Amino acid sequence: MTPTAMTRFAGQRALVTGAASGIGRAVARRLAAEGASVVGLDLSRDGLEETFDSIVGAHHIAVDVRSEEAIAAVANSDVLVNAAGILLRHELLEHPLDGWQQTLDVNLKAPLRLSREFARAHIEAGTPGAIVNVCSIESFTALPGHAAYTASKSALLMLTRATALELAPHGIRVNAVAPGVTKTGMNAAVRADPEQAAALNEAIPLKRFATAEEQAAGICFLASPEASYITGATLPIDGGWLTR
Amino acid sequence: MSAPVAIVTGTSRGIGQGIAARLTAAGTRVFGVSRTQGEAVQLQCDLAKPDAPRQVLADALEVCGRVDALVNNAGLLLEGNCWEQQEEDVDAMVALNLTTPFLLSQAVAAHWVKEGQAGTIVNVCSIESQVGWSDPPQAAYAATKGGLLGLTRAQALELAPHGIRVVAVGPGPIATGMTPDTPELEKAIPLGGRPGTPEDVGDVVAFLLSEAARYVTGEIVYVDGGYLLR
Repeated sequence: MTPTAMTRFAGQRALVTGAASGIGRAVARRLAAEGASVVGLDLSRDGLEETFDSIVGAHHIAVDVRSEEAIAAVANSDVLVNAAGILLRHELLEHPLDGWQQTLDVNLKAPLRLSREFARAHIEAGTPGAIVNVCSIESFTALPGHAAYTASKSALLMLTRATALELAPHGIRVNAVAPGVTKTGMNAAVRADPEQAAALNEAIPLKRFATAEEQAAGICFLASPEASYITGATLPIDGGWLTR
Repeated sequence: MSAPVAIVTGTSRGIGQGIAARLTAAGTRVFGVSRTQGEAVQLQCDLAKPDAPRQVLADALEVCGRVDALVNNAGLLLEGNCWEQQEEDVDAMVALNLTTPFLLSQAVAAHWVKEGQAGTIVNVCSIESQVGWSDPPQAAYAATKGGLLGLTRAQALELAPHGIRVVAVGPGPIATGMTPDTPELEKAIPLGGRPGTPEDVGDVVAFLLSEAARYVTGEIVYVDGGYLLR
């Protein structure tokens, strides 16, 4: 890492949802490593403690991203990363309504609500800010058994573009990454099955899964001043998945 | 065989009324569903109620004897800055624009699979499944329409093995009596400098439901006079 890259977030406050594991954890750690004071949100207190173990200046709040506490935490931040997300697998015809609603709550409504509070605080203060949403290759394409996830991530893609458009006059940038298959708990069972893992790998031009750190690299770039002219963009970090 | 039957939601006015008119002209029997009364409305009900989808299917089958197509047209647009819009407005749009199509499609598709019958679903998306619209601001609406496009793809992929096609249309600004036709709007539309009509959308829906579109699934056709080209 170059010295400039290491201080991209010096003096900045960042809020990361889903920081107890996976992509959210990698983002929280990298932001902290690059000088940000990081607040991590997640349901798992243990996971958060592990994320922030040995990081000075970071703190975390174990709350549901849908809660009022989470909303209160966002107002002070210069950077908001909406990384919390869930994937519930159900065949379309048997998909339960509660699983559909839970997915929309976590993957769409929580980012929407946090973005609203983030934007409101920045507009009131007249300060710039950056939001990065974690979309998915399923914002552009579909996988069987993922109906709610696909709908929620497609909604998040449009939330990214539409909020970018609305917030641009206020100096607030909104971007997203669209991860492909990334080595996180979300797909651990699928990756552990040799047959499914081989089939997935076959579908990826780079022939391997992403690491959470590779997603964090893209997210931190979009959140940083290096991306100062980028807004409304969604960067696929997918090993070439969407080229096929 | 009796005339094909299409359930169309939101037929009391606007785009839904245009879709109903064009499908009827093409020889389809339309079972129109809307919250408010109207010429093309056979069933009055609040689609956002959780038990509405089952009721719609049951009533359509009882009245028409069969169902061959579903057009998820009913939608709700509540404007508001993304930093100010209230929770209740967002919830209402998510319920009607996303959850209702999810549930109604599920009920109808399950019926088709049980009967071993083919069928077609058309979801009425928007240019806001692709781009934002800031005057007036409506980011949450755009998010629901983006989600509906994602749902279209997911449904198309999973229902294809059952011979069920799922497609979408994406209307641009449509003259429905609700949106004023301004000079700015006219400048924004390459084709004829006019907003679309409900019938412009209805003709494309009729095509997508027809045998001519038999190899099309999971796609969206924008009906926007070239708006997205700019």
